[in-house]
Amino acid sequence: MLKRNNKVLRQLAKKNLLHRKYRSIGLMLLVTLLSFFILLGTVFTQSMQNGITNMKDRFGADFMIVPKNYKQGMEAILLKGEPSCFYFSKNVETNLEKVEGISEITSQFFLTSISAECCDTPVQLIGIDPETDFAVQPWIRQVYDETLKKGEIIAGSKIDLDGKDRLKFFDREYPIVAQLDDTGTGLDEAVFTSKETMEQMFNDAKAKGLRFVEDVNPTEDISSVLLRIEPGYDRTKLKKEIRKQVGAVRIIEADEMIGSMANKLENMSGVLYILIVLFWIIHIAVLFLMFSVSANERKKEFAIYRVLGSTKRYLARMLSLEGLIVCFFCAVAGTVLATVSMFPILSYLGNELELPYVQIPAFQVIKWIVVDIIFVTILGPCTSVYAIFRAGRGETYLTMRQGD
Amino acid sequence: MIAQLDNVSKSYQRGKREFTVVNDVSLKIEKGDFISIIGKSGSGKTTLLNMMAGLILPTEGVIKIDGKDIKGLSDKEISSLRNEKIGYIMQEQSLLSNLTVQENVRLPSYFFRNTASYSVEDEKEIFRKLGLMSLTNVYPEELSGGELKRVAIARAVLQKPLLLLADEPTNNLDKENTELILQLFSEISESGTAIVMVTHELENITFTKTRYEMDEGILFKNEKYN
Repeated sequence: MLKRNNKVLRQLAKKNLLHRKYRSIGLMLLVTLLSFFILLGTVFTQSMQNGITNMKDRFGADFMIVPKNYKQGMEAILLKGEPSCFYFSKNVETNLEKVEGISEITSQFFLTSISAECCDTPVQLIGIDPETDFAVQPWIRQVYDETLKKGEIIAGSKIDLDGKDRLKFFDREYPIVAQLDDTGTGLDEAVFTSKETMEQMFNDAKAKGLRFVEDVNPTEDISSVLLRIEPGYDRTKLKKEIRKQVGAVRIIEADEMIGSMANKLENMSGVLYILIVLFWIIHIAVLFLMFSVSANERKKEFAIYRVLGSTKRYLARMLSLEGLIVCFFCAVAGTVLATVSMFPILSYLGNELELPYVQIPAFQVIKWIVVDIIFVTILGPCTSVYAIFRAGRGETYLTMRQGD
Repeated sequence: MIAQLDNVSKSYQRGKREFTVVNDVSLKIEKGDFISIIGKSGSGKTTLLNMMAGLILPTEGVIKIDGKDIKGLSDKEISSLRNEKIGYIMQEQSLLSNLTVQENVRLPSYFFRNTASYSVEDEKEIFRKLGLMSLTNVYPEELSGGELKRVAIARAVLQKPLLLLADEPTNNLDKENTELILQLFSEISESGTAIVMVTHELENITFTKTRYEMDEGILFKNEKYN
């Protein structure tokens, strides 16, 4: 039963949609699919962009120097979160301190915990020098305001603490003073500590008879040297000088490491943007077509409304409302589906495409959900423009006769 | 005066030729008039009714409904006039298939009014008179041709219009129902509504007070019917 006042318009629109079940279902599937893909595609693209930005921010250094042949090991730690360890003499750092053109220099010591009873979790352990470090401490300070004391550790965002406030490495427990925010890099799967603590971990590992540390001395060896160039200094010249000073090492430029990954991500997001735009265009065209075909089928219905005294504006409102109802509910349905399936799908895509930087920041997801719902909802009244035009056009009585 | 037509003509262009469907018609319709127009198919009867309903505009002449020249009215004004002052029973099936009988009948009262111009008792009375009481919640696709026509008549009559335009209202109706409808028209014309009925059935015109004939777009009083 139709109820009086403005509700009538809403009820008429609903009844019209329900009356043409198959058309409405087709329309709803299409709009739900649009809303689903738009949100998923946008979040995926956005998360890749975030990955690039995070990577650049977190890398922190202009150059990273590692033992020769260990570029891939370093990339595995930074980009994929795969534990690795390699060493060269601390002299490399000492020699580089004399080199002109370097504004900041620090070194790191790597160790990997193992998958055994002595360790809670197999992770990358990174020892930093709190006095000279410029690469890790700025983002440690975002969650922990003090200098790391002996025995303290900081966990990366993806380390599963499971409510624990301590982690065991080589049969010794270390208090966790903070857990870092998500960076979207491999460093999320690392544990940070001072070199002093690292020395203790190293000695414990050695005492357990781990072969890979047999020939290493934590006071004389380091795993990498990170350095920053003085502003405006010639990079090529500096690289030459580094080689001259320290000989056979691998110099990794931040841009070189990030560059290949960033290019891959930027290409991917470029393709995705094009796909999203194409998806929009195709959907708008199909919706426009569906509303137009429907307007043609319904011309007799429109004529009856006009004969009974409906204004063109009333018809336009009714048709807009039909589009609005379909598109709003389907936009919501699409975003719910996309949100529910977002984490597994994006993780799967991230793994399949070897893009470890696919992050889904909650705030941005909420923002895109709102944008998706608004845009997809607006699409309804916009694509029913022809139907509205058709409804108010022509001589009503002729339409009545043609419509029979 | 409820309606006044002064030298109204309607022409159409078909290719290079112009066809005059309604030719220089003048007519005055007063409160309570019951006018019938008979004529062959294509004589211009329906076009004349459509012009009176404001669905099409005349090529020449003036049509005034309730004192207003329909040519100068905005879409809102003409729609309001059609909704509140004119009842139109079309020759074609004119019910909305997604609404029940009762919803179809009530629909016009929602466009411009917050309250219906009739009571629930009025509605029941019309439904009872037209034999529609058991069909209120039925959808048009389940109705026969005669039932569809009676619902359309109920919808037009219930709004208590100043002017009721009926285009072949007894098509698809049996003799009994035809008499019922014409009797109903007589009653409502007595109560003040002016009725213009187009028909091709001569026996129907006996119920009307004034009888016109239309031929090749020209409206005239044929003495043999009056």
